[in-house]
This record gives sequence, structure tokens and C-alpha cells, in this order.
Amino acid sequence: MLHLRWRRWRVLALAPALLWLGAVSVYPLAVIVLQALRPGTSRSIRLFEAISDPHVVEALGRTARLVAIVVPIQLLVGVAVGTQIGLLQRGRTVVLVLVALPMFVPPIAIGLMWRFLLEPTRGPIASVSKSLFGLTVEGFSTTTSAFRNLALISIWQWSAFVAIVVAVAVATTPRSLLDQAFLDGLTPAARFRNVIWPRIRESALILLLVQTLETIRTFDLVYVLTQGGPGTATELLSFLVFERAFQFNDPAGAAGAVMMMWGISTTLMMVGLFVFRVRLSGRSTVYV
Amino acid sequence: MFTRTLYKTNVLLALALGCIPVLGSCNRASEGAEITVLYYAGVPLGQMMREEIPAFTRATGIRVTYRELPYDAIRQREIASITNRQGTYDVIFVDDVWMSEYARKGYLVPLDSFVTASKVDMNDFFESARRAEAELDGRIWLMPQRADVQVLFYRTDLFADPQHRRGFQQRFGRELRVPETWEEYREVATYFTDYGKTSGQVLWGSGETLKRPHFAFEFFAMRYWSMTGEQFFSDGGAPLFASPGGIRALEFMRSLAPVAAPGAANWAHDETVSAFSQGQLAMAPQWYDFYATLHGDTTLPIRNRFGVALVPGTRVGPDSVRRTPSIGGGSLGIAADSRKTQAAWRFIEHMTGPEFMARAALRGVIVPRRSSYADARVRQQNPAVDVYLQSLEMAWFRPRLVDYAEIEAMIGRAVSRGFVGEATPAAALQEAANEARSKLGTGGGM
Repeated sequence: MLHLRWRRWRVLALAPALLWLGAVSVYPLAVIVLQALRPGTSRSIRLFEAISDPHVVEALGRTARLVAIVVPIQLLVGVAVGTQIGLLQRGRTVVLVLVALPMFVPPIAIGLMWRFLLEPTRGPIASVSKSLFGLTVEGFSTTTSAFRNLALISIWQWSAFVAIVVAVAVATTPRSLLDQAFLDGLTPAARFRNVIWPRIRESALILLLVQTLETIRTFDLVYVLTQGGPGTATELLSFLVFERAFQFNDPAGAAGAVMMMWGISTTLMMVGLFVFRVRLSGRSTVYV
Repeated sequence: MFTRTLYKTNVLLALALGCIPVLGSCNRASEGAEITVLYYAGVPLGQMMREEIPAFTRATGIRVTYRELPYDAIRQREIASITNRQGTYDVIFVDDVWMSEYARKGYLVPLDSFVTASKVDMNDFFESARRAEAELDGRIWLMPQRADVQVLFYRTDLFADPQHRRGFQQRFGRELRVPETWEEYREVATYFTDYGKTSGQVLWGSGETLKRPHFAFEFFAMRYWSMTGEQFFSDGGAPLFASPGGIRALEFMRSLAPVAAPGAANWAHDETVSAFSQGQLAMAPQWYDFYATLHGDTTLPIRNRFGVALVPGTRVGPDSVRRTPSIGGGSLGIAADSRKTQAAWRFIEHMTGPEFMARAALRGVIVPRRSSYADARVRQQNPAVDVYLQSLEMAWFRPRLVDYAEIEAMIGRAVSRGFVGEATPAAALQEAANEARSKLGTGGGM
């Protein structure tokens, strides 16, 4: 009897949270699904139209290319910088705060700042580059430079996040282990592989997943910097969704592309979590 | 006892909360003496209206809540409010390219009866402004308040410099002068860009504004119209812009890429105007509205060293050049869900009336009323006003489409692709034409 009452009470206690979840998550999801299932201009539904739309497919390819370039570099840079910070004996907090600065700046402000810095005629980088090396900065004026600079800014912005997470994980490594590895004559690479990597591996896997999803969602930078141009160089999937939903006033068309993004993100997340679980359950060689 | 009190309190609270929207709608439903105006942020006219509101309230007894939003957000907010029948705004700002969508989708209250009752002289508005910003399908939907037009900004000192005059004459075999045709424009741009390269000066011949989709479209349009003499769509809604003339226009734009300042493919207004104001550009087609900004700034390096001229065009006869600047501007309209249409009209009538417009013209605002330019002081404030007025007379306006935003994005993308060489002009325009045909043949409409 008491057990039943307790169960009922637990359901009641959870009700506000469930209602809230329903309102902020399930309801919008349902609206988007319904929009995506609406009939399209042909005999198909909007979701299938989105999947077969060449612009959406091309934007998906561009987004995948950005992920393939940005995420590995973010992880490499973040792990390298984060490891060095984590190993610092003194001043670690100050360095962490300095490294974290790009994360405190709103993405719109970051976009505006880089738009100014990389402006080919009056930007400071263009001036210095021209006067010192005679080189012209292309900024966002060509398809190649626009995509490259978008990737670079994204790497700059988010490597800091990776570095902080890694630094915190590295900082938990007992000093005695590092000293022991040093005394055993291990090379720096071997020390990293055997002492540090096992402690940051799980964090790195999670970061890989998070940064992949974050890069797929890249929107603010494109909106501020290029509006998808020049040509279609920076027309990413999230920008296409925004364009359809808010500029073309076509929520059903946008919903089709959103469903596609969801499908890809959810698949990636499930694969990532599966790999994560396998790695966690496997035996790891930790230098102890 | 406690439970019963709690129950009663809850019921009363729920009733009170439930009444709030009802009371709100009751308040909106009444023809009250308070209206809400939504306008475009950061423009001098908005500042003037804010200053004028106390005088308007004193004269009419109508209280005004004045709100502003950035240009990028305003259309979305207006449409959301009107389609959800929220009645948030009574008077709204409408860009000329939104008029077709707003009027044909029922977002606006027609103004014909108000205009007739108030005996507004619509002939005082320039014809191009009236057609582009007020009238559609034989009805008046909006009252024009600001009419901008494209002109050519150029550096007077460079064009007058004997060294450049000689150099240009030697290279092109003709006198250096402000270009009348687009071919002349390209030659002058080539000369100054090459001069910038060889002399080491930071100078380019032309500044193009081609960030997609909006700017790419509007600065392609003036070339397209002048080279083809036709609109982007036929009366029946068929796309015409992938024609040989349209392809020629985009090929011309592509040929400007080597002589335009770097960055042009991603420049919006502010970048072009900033580069010109710093003396880095010999010429820049741009909206006339920036003249007041540049003319009034005494700190600029180009102070007293620039002028504006009619945009170049296409020669169509021995003494005839077809120049086709675009008109663009903003108007005031009454939101379809407004319950205070009479009060909203009083506001619009006041803020587009001859007195207010004349004062705005004296402050350098480009207003669409003829009478506003009668005052000689306007010319003192705005010495290039004759170029502006002449440009307005010859201005063309962008397509009047319900799906304008989408069509603009299609053509803007094509122009950008053609300009940077991502696709040939023919292929880029053909793809855009196919998309436009598909859109207008199904969900869209003229």
C-alpha cells in the first residue's frame, strides 16, 4: 500500500518536469514533424522534397566538408593546448581564463570582429600583410577564401572549449606519475600516450561528438559574415533552414531540412554514444 | 478548511489569469486613442518621427507607442504579428519590395478611402515613388515616406587631375570623364585600378556591392534593365532574365571582377561606402542616401573631393543612353489586424504630410514629395539634389512579386555565382530561371 502511494507520489512529483519537457521539447518537435509531413509542391511531402532538393544536398555536402576539416583540427589544437595548460604548475587558472576568452564573446560579435579584421581593403590583417609581406588578404571575397576563413574562425572559436575540457582532465593526473614516467626515460610522446591520453580519452570522445554537432549547427558566423556567399561557398544546411523559415516564410520547407539535420545528428550521436560505451567497457592501459 | 480555501484561491487565480488576454483583446478592440508604430531602426527619419510624436499627440490626442527593430528583423515580426492576429502594431514600416506580398496576402488595410476623405494630393509624390511604394493593382496600400535611388559616386579630384587625364587619353584614346555607359565605366575602373597597382596607392577603380542575395540582386538589376530594357518577369510571370541580354549583363558584371576592389563579392553598403569615404575607390554605384552622410562628415579624407552623377547606362541611340537606376524606399501602412485604423491613418497622414516632409528634406532626408524641394535651403543642405531628382524620374523598380524574397535570393545567388566564377553567367541565370518558374508556377504569383 505504502509502495503504491510512493509510486503515485513519484509520478506526481515528476509531472511538472514532464509537462515542461513536453512544452519546450515535444511540442515544437511535433510541430516540425507535422510541417515536414505536409504535402509539397509536387506529389511528395516536404521532407522528401528537402532530401531531393539539390540546394539542400549541396549544403549538406558543404556542412560535411566543414565538419571534416574543422572538428579534427579543433580536437588536435585543443588537446595540444589543453595538455600544456593542464601540465602547468603555476598560473594555470590565468591561462585558462585567457584561452576561454573566445567563448565569452557572442558569436555575432565574433563574426563582426572577424569581418572587420579580414576586410581586404581596410582590415588590420590586410594592412599588415600588405605592408610587411606584400600579400593581399582575400577575406571573404572568393569562394575558397570564404570557406577557409569560416573554418579558421570556427576552429579558433571552439578550440578553446576543447582546450579547457582537456586541461581540466590533464590537471587531475598525479604529478608523481608524470615524474615516474620521466624517470623511466619515456619520450614526451610516450608519456602523452601512456600517462595523459588514457585520462583524457573519454573526454576527447565526448568532445568529438559535441563539436561535430556544434559544427553541423554553424549558423551565426555565416549569417554575419557571408549570408551563404560568395556564390554558394558558405551555404550550410543551418543557413538554408533559416533562409527558408524566416526569409522565404516557408516553415514547411525549412522543417523538411530540419528533419534531415535531426536524422543526421541523432545518428551521429547514437554512433558516438555506442563507441563511447564500447571504449568505456574495454580495458585501457593506464600508466599507474 | 485549508484545502477548501486553497481551492477557492486557485479558482480565483485561474479566472484572473484567464481574464488578462480577454481584457487585453477588449482593449485592442476599442477604437482607443493609443496606437503602436513599428519602424526601421537607425535611420534619421525614425529619429525625426520620435521627436515629432509629442507634437502629434498634442494636435490629435492620440498617444503613440513607438517601437523600432533592425531592418533584418522587421518583416518577420510584422508578418508574425499580423498572421497571428495579435494586433500588436497599428502603423508599420514597409519596404517597397515587400508591398506586393503585404498587399496581396492581406497584411495591409487599403488606404484609398482614407486618402480620398483626407483629400491627400497624391500627385505631390514623385510618380516613380508612387508606383514603387504606394500603388498596386489599382489601389493605394501605402504612403511613401522615403525614396532612395541609385547614383554613381565618384572622386572629383581624380577625374580633374591633369596626370590622370593625360594617362587615360593615352591609353583609351578619349577624354577622361564621368562614364555615361557601362563600357566607359569599365574602362575608367580599369585605368584607376591599374594606376593603384603601379603607383602603390590604395586605390581601385570601382567598388561593387555584391553580397548575396539582397545587394547582389539590386546592383545587378540596374545593369540588367539598362542592357535589356525589360523587367525580370513578363506580365504572365515568366522569367525573362536568362535571356541573351541578361547573360550579357552578368558577363559584364563578371568582367568587372578584376578591376573592382577586393571584397566586392561580399560587400554590403557599409563596406562600399566606408572604402569610398576613405578614398580607396575612384567610383562606386551606390544609393543616394549615403550622399548626406558623406557630405556632412567633415573628418573624411574625401571631404570636398567627391560628387555624384547619374548611373551609367547602355547606349540605345547616337545621343541616347538608357539609364536605369533602381528606386528603393520605405512607406507607412496600416496593419490588417489593427483595430484603430482611423488613429493609425491620422499618424500616417501627419508623418507623410507636406509639412513634416519639408522639414525632413531640410535635414537631408530624401523624401518623395515634390513640394519638399521647393525651399531653396534644401539645395544648400543637399547640393546634389538635382542628380537625385533626375535619377528618380528615370528609376525602375524591382519586381512586384508575392514571393519577392525568395525570387531575390534565387537571382542574387545566381549573380554571386556568376561574379565569382562558380558557374558561367548563362548556367547560373538559367538555374535561377528554372527555380523561379517552378516557384511562380505553383506556390507563387505576380
